[in-house]
Amino acid sequence: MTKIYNIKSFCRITNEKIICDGEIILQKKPDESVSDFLKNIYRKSETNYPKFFKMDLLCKAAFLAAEFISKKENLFETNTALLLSNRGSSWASDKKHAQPIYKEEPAASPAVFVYTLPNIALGEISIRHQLFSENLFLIFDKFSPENLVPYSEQLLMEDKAEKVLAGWVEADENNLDVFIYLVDNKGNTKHTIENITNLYKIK
Amino acid sequence: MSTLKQELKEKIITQLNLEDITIEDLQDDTPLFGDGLGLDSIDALELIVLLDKQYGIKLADPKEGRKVFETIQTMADYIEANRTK
Repeated sequence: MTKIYNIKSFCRITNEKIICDGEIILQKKPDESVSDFLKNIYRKSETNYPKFFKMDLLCKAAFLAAEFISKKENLFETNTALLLSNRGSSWASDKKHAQPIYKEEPAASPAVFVYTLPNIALGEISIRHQLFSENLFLIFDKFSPENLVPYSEQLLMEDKAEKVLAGWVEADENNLDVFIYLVDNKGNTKHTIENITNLYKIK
Repeated sequence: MSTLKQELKEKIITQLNLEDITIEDLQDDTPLFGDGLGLDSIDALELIVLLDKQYGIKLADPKEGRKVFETIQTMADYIEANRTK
């Protein structure tokens, strides 16, 4: 028998605001940088996790979306698989890492280097919520629920995970495009490509 | 020496993104690792790079690093004795 899966919770972060399950958490000020906006979201979350400040923008964005979802649907020590995706991989950190290497006196920062892979975002979420689950970071041309939906359901159907935290995370100094959602067998919104596409369209 | 210690505190807070820490929080004898400031292994690498770039000191021996990076005071003492710029 085919099981029915639902979207239990979601979090959307754009250049304008952060919305979780339809509720606006914080609006971005017009002259606020992406970096400052993410720090203000962190403060709004009332989370005490100093390591947040060491993360790159991609990890900060993914971490915050997961944090707000976890406030409603506890992720801590659960069997929640992680399935994130984006277009630019860890491009912003790759660039930051490469620039000093090509200068007259080459010097790379170890703290920047550790973020030169997109799947570090999965690691940061896993460390925060003590997840020892399946995880995968995919690179697509654009947000692609056509791929995320079947992969998430496969993980659930094969009992590889009880829930899946899936979505899209793009973040650099000029752009924030984050949509992360929790797939579960509970909830009111069916886990379909159409519903996910509609939720992603929220700006 | 006190100028160097002040400079070190500023650089460490900036370089290691210690956003919740102020210069006043960072005493000369606060342990940088463990129960003190709680720095990690990546921070240790950043401190090695900082010594090289800012003061021309190349730290090759990990055992030496353990002593040098105990506190702001031990770092300042080591820089004063070994700096090349």
